[in-house]
Amino acid sequence: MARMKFLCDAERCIECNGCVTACKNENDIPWGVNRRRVVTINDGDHGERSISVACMHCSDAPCSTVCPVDCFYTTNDGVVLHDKDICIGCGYCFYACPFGAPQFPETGAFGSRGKMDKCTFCAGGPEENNSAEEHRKYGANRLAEGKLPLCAEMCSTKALLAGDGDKVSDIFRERVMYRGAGALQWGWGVAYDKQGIKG
Amino acid sequence: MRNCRFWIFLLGLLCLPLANLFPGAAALAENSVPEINNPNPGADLWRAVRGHLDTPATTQVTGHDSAVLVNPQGERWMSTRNDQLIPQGGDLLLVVLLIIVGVYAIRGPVKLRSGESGVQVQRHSVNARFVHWLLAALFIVLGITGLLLLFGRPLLIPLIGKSAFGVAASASKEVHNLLGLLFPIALVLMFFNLVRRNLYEKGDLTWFAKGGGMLGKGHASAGKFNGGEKVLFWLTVFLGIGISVTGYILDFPAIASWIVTVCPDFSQYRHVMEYTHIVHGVIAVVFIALVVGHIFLAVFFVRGTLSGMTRGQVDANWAKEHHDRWYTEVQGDSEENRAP
Repeated sequence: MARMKFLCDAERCIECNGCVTACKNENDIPWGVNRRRVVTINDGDHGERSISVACMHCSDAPCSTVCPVDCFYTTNDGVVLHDKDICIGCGYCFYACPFGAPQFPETGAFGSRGKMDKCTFCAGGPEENNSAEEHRKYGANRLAEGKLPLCAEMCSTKALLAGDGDKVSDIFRERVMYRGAGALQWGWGVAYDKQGIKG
Repeated sequence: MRNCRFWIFLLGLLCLPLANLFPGAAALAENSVPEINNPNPGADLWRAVRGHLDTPATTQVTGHDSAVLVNPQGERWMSTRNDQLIPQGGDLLLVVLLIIVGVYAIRGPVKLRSGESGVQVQRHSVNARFVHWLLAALFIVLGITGLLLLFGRPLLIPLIGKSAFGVAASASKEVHNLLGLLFPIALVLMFFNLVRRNLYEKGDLTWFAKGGGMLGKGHASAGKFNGGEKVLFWLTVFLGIGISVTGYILDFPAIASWIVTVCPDFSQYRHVMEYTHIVHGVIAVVFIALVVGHIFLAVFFVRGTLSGMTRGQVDANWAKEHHDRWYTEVQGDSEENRAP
């Protein structure tokens, strides 16, 4: 069985936020909820890098471990999904998640938390595939149509990769082999005036 | 073959002194691993991603801690809750129940030695009973809903299934969040109503020395409230303050966001919520254990106590046997009242 994974190539991401927009549009996400976000480190400085991050669909997911109502489940593709009919919106998954993936729409009086919403790897939820009910609660189910998550599909620099872990690894490994790493990277000598390697 | 290896080894040994004659050869060997004087920014990038470097991170998404890529502290909270709070909290409550059952089985209920006199003495005013039962009702509802949220997954889901438990847990969360707001109000009312008679009086330490009448012989003398009841009062006040403060933070995450801005120890909104949640849970379990003990003593163990909180009156013999100093005080009062 395939094991679905996201990988963001920090050397390629240009912080265009196309993945964020694609995700919001494809899944009809309400205001205030961001299933995906792009974080830029050292913005405008030497060594600036951007990374697009969403639910990483952990094999040993902390959200699932702390959930007081046990609403998470992992599909055969290794995608971590949750059942919004069971979720009570307690927020524990947000405290436990290392990646800040769980999001909570502000619903009800005094802006209390609604039911949790997070990246589904464009795989919908427990309802019947591509039913109106599923789309209303969880957004698109592209996996059931044989497609991959739209964020990665639309990435202009192909920084964000999504799919079977083995294939994603192969693509990334090939990239690293061609471009090298650190001072051995293509273009390093031009960028740093051949200071990369002493001698 | 063996001979061949030996000759190569011997040749190598002979060549060793030669290396010193040609220093250039050694320098060549050193240069084969060139020194990098322009460090790879990728290395520091991943340190920054893990939060090990104090590097500025920005995002266009607004939300709690959006610019944090990896929050390793969540795992600490998770293991504290799942591996310590739930099992050890459950053990504490079980131990308290076992002690209660054990004491009841060995000692049996404390009945009045001289039987009921039929004469009633006024013990608690309407106001005192109102605040007591207001606090008690809130405590029981909050306690049950809170225990459901903490222990429901291991205990109830196997029995009633996820869907049914999801409904119960959702209702519990809403009730807990809304009624929890009233708890400090009831606590303050209770404090001002009962604090005057719960201050230290002479003889309270003697009461403890006699174990409340359980140890040694002879009666443990007490005023309106005995030492144990005073400990209950003050523990209720302090645990209640703790649980109210943490509860309000959990109820209003805006407070947690504010704490992050004023307290440098907390770098993230999530960290405040995590610490607050653990403190709230620990206090809650201890508080429940305390109140279970209180209910046991007042309802089941010391017979004749409950009517003081329901009807407001107790039997005169109960007052004499358990609160002798208060009884003489009340008798004095009534005689004074009767005098004119």
